[in-house]
Formats: sequence, structure tokens, C-alpha cells
Amino acid sequence: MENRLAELRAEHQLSQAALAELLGVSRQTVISIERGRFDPSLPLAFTIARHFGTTIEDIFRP
Amino acid sequence: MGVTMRSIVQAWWRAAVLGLALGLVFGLLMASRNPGAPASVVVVVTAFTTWPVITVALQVLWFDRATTERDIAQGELGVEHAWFQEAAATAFATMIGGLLFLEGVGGALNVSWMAPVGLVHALVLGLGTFAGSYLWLRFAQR
Repeated sequence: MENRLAELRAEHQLSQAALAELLGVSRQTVISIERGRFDPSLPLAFTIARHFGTTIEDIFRP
Repeated sequence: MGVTMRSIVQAWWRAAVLGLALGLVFGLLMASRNPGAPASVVVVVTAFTTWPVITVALQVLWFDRATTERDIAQGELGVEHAWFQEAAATAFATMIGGLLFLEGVGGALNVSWMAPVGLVHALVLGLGTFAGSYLWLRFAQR
């Protein structure tokens, strides 16, 4: 699944570690999502979308 | 709120007291099952060796269950949980297949270290595959 996480993170000037801290997950989780190797669960996708003030479908595309 | 010695004691004292009490009960049980050994030594050694384990178990699984459940739920969000599940599934399939292979081939060829299969075979196959699979997934995603 493609996503805009890296792009949004760069827009908000957040490091992977900082975003991971905000989301309550490991840095490896953020890395894996950005590379499209790990599809986050629905609760985590909602948390990410809420954090960036947007919707899940705006970040993740099948 | 910072973690102080007082806050630790306040959080853990119930588990520690109950853990020691249960440790003493285990000690008495052990002493009754081993009449040849000095009872007081058995009770004290059993109580003090099981005390930490019982205390932690009580705190994590009972007194502070809400924190444990919250941490588990948070941990399930991470990619590590996905690796864990995949590695566990791989290990289970490998262990079952491996045991059948060892029993079948070892039995047919009469190889003593292969058959009959035992706990060691299951542990080596299961834990070894789990560890290898988890590490493979971890390094493959770097």
C-alpha cells in the first residue's frame, strides 16, 4: 500500500524518531510504513491521520 | 509524575506482601512433599526464590493489569508485533513438519538422534525457527 507519510513528515519537519515518539511506536515501525513494507492497523492509521489533521484515505492509497 | 522510591513502594507493596505470603505457602507445600529435608530451610529457600517471580506476576497480571493491557495494545500497533506473529506462525509450521520428518525418516533409517522425537527436538526446532525467522524479518526490512 502506497502512502504519503514521508512527505507529510517532511512538511511538518519531523524526524522519524520524533514521529514515532508522538505515535507511541518504534522508529522501525515508521520506517517500515514509509517504505510500504508494513500496513498499519486501523487504530494506528487513525492516529497518524489525526496527528497530521487529515484523513486516512488522504495518506494511504491501495 | 516522577518515579520515586515512595511511588514504587506504594505501587508494589500489595504484590510484594501477597507474593511473600504465597511464597511461604509454596515453601510449606514443598516441605510437606520433601519430609527428608529440613523443613525450615525448604520453606525459607522456596519462599525467597519464588517471591520475586510471584510478586512481578501479581503486579503485572493483577494489580497493574490496566497498564499491562494498555502496553500490550500499544505494542500491537508496531511492526515488531507483525514480525512476531509471522515468526511464530513459521516456527509452528516448521516445528510440526520437522517433528514429522524426524520421526518418519529417523524411524525408517533407525537414527537414534532423530527418532523417537522428544521435547528437545521440539524446542530446538520451534525456538530456533522462531529466532531465525524474527531476525530475518528484522534485517530484511532495514
